[in-house]
Amino acid sequence: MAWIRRINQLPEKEKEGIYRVLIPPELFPRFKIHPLTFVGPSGHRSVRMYCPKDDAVALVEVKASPEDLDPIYSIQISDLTDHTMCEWEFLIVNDPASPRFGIDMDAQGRDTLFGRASRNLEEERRAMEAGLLPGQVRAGLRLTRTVVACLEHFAKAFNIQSIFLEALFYHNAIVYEKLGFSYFEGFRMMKRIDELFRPGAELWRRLDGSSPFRQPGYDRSVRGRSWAIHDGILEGIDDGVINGEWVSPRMYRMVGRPAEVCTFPGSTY
Amino acid sequence: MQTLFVGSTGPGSGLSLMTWFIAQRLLECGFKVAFMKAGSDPGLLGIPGKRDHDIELMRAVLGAESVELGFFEGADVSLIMGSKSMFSDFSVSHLSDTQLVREHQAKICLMDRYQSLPASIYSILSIHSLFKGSLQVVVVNRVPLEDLQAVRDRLVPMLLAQGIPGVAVLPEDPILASFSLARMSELLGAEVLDSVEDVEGIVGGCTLGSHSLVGPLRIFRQVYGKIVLLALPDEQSNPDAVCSPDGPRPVVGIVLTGGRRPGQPLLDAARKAGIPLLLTTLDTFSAFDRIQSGASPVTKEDGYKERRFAQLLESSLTGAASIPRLFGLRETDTTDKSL
Repeated sequence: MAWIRRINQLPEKEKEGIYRVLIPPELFPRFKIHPLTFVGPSGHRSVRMYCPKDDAVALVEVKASPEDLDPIYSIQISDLTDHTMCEWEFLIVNDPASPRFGIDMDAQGRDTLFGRASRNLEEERRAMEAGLLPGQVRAGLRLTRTVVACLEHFAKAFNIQSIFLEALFYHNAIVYEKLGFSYFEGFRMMKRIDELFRPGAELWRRLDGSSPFRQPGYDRSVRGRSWAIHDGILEGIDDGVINGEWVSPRMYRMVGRPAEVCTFPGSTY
Repeated sequence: MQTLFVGSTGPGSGLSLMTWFIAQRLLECGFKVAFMKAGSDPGLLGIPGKRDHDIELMRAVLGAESVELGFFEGADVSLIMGSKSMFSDFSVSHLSDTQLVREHQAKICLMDRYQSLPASIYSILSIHSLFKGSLQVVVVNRVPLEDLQAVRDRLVPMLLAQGIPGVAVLPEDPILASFSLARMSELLGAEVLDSVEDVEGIVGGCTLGSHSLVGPLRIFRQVYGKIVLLALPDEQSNPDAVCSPDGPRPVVGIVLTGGRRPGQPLLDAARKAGIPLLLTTLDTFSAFDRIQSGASPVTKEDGYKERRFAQLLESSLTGAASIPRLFGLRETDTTDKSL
């Protein structure tokens, strides 16, 4: 039996004790959450866990107050058929003190899937100008490196040998590369994107200011490229590697043995 | 006329299913059965148009006359369904379980929802002691697979040694715990979105995980607030396999939580997959808690549950081969009827 399903069958307190390691420790003092009782400043439990005994999924969510719209932190992991691997399904990190941008809802109040299914262009423009990345409703807390360390710690404890994920956006893939992830699928696409953003190449030429998300100079930063790709700059490129749209790369990290992959040499954020 | 009393040590024990099962078996054996319920659901009293689910069920199984007249003349057996807990000894109709059993010298079938071995032993032996000699059948229901053998090895011999003729131990079963989609929608106060024309289907499990979201449903992997509703496992598969599926299971619906109305791509994907989307204002954790704790009333449409319950019960029950025999009905009430 795979590990998450096995852990989920333990008594509640034991499960909580194990899944606690998925919460970056600095969140507890920063948001005044008791690390053992999980009680926050509102007097309610700030940490909730979904880990029923008959499921192979664990979700850990931290909210300052139960009625808050956005979690401060949310991570979901699950077993894979290959029991030596686990899947990192979701990571959401929000700084509740930062301004919120409604990129997740369109003008009719419908879910945009963080801009991937449909877009709220005005809110996205405001978010971009405030320094956010595609898919972010608020600024993050610069925790991804710590989260990967937490996941590694968890994986080592249970002899899980690799962590699998899908990078939803271009910037996610670059960040995960820097944190030791390699590609199952999508490496050639990432390399090709880098080539096409080089001065004089097709994507570089398309950064012509035709939309707020395609400004000249966006080729030089991860953030600029990610907004341009989110804006559909890959459309019409069909060269056997890129098929006209962004396809989330599938990535993995060997526990204790980070890879050294780079598809954007000399990148700045 | 013999009186059978179906009682329970607490909620969620399978009281309705057991009552249905007994009624069905008695009918099949040619008995005329009268039915009454000791305590209707207090929440339904005085609400126009609301009816007790158990009474509706038995009306459908036995016929309206058998239910409305209670102890009607000519009945061979009176079947009384007790309250959710014999220990509370309270019912809004002022007919306590204890009084009913004693006044009608009823034979008891006791349902116990397993919590732990000591709790089951305590509950069952307390009732056995209270109604000396009346306890004929004990069903310990919803035992987790990991506890099943221990309960069979320790509890069953103990109860048989106490002179209880019929004892059954039933595992936690996804088919018995399933919901209809319509009931799920009611439970979550959910709006059924315009993705398919009807919401028929049975929910055999739910998950926040994405592994079953394949094909057109893959887009839902990107939805943060969702609960994936899974189909019932194959009824023919063995219970161990049913409870530990590793691979994807068919999806029968998706609950979108937090009141976030989906965009057209999600509606289109659901329509393509032929599944309904339910939209609830509850957040994911609250919705999941409600699903986990929400008992689904048994209705006549749940025939698959009654058949599954019968299958599990008949393969587990000790003692005589049939329920009527366990209650001694052949000798006392139906000498001219064939069992």
